[in-house]
Amino acid sequence: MKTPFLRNAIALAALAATGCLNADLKTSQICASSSSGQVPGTPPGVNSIELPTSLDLSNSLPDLSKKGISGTVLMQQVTLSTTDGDLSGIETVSATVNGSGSSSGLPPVTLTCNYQKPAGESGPLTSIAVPCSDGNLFDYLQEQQTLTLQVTLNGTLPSSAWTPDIGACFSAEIVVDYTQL
Amino acid sequence: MILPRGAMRSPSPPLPARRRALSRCALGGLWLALFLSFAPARARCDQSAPVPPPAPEPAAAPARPPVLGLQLGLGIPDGAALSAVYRPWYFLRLNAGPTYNYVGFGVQGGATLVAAHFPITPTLTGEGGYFFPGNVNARLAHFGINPPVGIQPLLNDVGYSFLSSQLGFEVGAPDTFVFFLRFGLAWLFPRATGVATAQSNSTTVTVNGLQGRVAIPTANLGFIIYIW
Repeated sequence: MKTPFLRNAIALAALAATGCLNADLKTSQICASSSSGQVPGTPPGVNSIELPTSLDLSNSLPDLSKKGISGTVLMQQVTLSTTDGDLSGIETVSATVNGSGSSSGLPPVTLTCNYQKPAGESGPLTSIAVPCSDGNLFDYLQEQQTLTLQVTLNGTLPSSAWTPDIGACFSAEIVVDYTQL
Repeated sequence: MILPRGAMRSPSPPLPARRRALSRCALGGLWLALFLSFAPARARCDQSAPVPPPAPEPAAAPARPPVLGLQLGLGIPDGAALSAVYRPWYFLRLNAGPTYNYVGFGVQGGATLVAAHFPITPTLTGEGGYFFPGNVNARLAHFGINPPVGIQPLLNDVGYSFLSSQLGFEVGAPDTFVFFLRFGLAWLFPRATGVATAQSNSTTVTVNGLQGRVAIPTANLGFIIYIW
């Protein structure tokens, strides 16, 4: 009677332990922002500019390139804000991840972030949130922990110099398998 | 011929003989009283009457093994736990009570399957618990450890729930005192509600809360005293 009990208990414990020594940590929101410096005012007739931005995540993410680490990093939105300009004339904003794809050696990322100015909105605007479709940046961040974004603004842009602050917010889930570290 | 009533009886003994009989009866009564103080048998003074056999004693009820006890355990991740123990059957034991893990207090409970009612026996235990949020920074400071300033807000309010399954053994008198040692696997569900901030180059990163599931090996030792 004791032997089957012991055998079953050991089998159960072994089954529970197999492949279970891992950690699955998630955060609802990681936000990174960076100021790329002052942008000169846009002359009349020009209604589109590109703002390349680099977000250095090396101090806030673990080394994702280690064996045994997997997960998902989803970009939720890109934010554009300023303290010294008016963004109310901007009609559309789009953002893409730069440097990914076969030519760069980095994994391709399909990420689309688009903003369309709501109809009837007027008055000074200092912040715009650009929602993104789900695109997993995990493979990209395994290769490099600096995310390079190309943000394109269209519309009536500030005519005097202004300082954009560009950021991005992510949700992240990191799974660490201790047995492979 | 009609005889008067009592004529068929034997004649009354003479007075000295009656006194001797009475004194014998009194002496017998004294011995009987002494005897009755040790045995519940009843007897009458009438020496001629046969003494009825003593009534059979009721069969003694088997001693009930104790069902309630106290358990003190120390382990990871359940901390130092004091539990009330209820054992409805020898092979099943339930426990529940408060616990403390140096960062905060919590509650925990579990169930143990015991293989045999024997001085040494294997066990299989499942436990679960919840630790109320506590300040990890304050506890680390006791050891002179100061986490990076940006991370400290994330550690101000940290708690966790846990589930564990453990295989172990118990040694001792199974109805009085047993010592136990168990090993197994535990699943922690930590949660931190603060906002951590990190700065690298011109990028500011904020991490808003952290939660998840962490599987770790677990160990637990302690003892149980059965009290009722």
